[in-house]
Amino acid sequence: MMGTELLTATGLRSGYSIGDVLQGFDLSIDRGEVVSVLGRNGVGKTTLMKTLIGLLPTRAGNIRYQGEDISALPADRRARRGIGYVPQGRGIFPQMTVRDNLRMGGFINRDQQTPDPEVAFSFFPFLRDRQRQRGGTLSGGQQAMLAIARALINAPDLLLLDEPSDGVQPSIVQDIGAFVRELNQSRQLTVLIVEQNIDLIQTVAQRAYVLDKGRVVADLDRERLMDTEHVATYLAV
Amino acid sequence: MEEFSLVISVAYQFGTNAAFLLLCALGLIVILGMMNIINLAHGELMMMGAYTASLSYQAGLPFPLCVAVSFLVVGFVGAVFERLVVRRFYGRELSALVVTWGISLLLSQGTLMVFGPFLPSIPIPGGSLDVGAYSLSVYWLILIAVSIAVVVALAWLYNRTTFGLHARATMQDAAMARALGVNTGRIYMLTFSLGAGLAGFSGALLAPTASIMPFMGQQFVAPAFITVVVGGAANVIAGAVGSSVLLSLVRTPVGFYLGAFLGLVALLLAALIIIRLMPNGVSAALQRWSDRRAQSH
Repeated sequence: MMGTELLTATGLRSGYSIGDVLQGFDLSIDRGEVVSVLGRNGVGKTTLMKTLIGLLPTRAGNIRYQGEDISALPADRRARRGIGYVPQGRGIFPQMTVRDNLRMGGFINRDQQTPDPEVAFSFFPFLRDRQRQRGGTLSGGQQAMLAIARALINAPDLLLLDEPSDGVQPSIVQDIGAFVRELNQSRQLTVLIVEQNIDLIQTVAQRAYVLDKGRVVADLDRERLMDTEHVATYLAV
Repeated sequence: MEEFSLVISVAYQFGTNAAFLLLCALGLIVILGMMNIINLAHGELMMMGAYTASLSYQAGLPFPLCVAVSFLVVGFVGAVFERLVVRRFYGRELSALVVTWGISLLLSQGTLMVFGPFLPSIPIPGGSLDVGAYSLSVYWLILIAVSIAVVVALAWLYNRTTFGLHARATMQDAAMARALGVNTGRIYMLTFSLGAGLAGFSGALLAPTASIMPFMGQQFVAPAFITVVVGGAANVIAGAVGSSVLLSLVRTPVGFYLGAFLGLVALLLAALIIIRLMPNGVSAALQRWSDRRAQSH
């Protein structure tokens, strides 16, 4: 049975040695959707992303992707099924060149064997000129763009974005938003984005989950998502 | 003519010194330089290479084939150690140091028990070349060529192949590499196995120049660590080449005029000074230079 659902999580529990951070998290994303997860610091957003890609084990509940249970698969096998991941802090390999960092994105989607950097270059032209430069010598904003380009170079079906705006100047946040929107519209890329930047959420997301204490406490449709004051109440400390 | 043969002789001395350092360091470049494991069993892996070579030579194999067998056998032993022991200690450098020390004791004492204190040595292949008053060993000329070839092959493997790309990514950020589709457990095993295999390969190549004994590995450990540490971790392969050239540039003239012992003292002093001036090694200095070049474009 394969409907329009691309990713579902049911009763997800996960965390660290001190205890569970996610305490029964549920979510469901259809193909072609851009969905955001909102919440204050420390409510489990990054834990959620790490659990979905497989860097943290699923302690209870399950994750279904393209109709199959992937909860027990290691991260590399999930990536090869077409999940692109951009972690908080971007995860650029500092000693590797921009070109090699981009090449590392080429193993994400095993069905698609033609990594194509051109789409990324058209949005982030500096990448083309700096292919021989080491990743670690790029600025924070440039690293964020490189990390997103790397995750998308081999046309994944799902993109997991963990706070791409963190520590990035506003003009670059706008470029990132435009790029994600473009790929969503032209290729039906499905995106799950954890964010605190309201502008970016409103630019890209069609709906949102509000996360608190490891559970979903509210669903926001597009209309309520555009109500900036309302959204701000979920992010304020 | 007198001067010409002197120049050739000094160049030959320099080449053998640098090749010796590189050969000692080969496996450690991978295991210490890339995986950051202080592998105290490095000398014993080289000893195993020498033993494998000696045993297969006695069994009638031609020497080049013995070297290949040593690479495979010790590489396999390395893979087994990685699976059973070493993989539990990634990211815990001091524990890994103690564990590899334990492995080294196990290997050397075990060898003593099984094979006794000596194994028949392997005669040095090739004859000698006379240049003026000096005589050069053909075998050492071959070792110089082989060490250059292996370093080039290693650089090719790490910079030009998918395995190399995955290995570099895994060593820099294993979690991120996994999240991008790399089977990092496999990469760790292959990398450690390659490092062990290279140590066995070097041990086999140096076997004709040494006495084949259970504790022969000790003599290679210090040169290996000095070469890799002076080279630094920024780019291990370029660093090891740079440091073996630099250290041999110091050792060769001192050794030539003041004797081999003072040459060794000069090498150790040079290592001390280089590490004091460039704490991150020769390759970090090279990298700063190349970063400036890449950014100015």
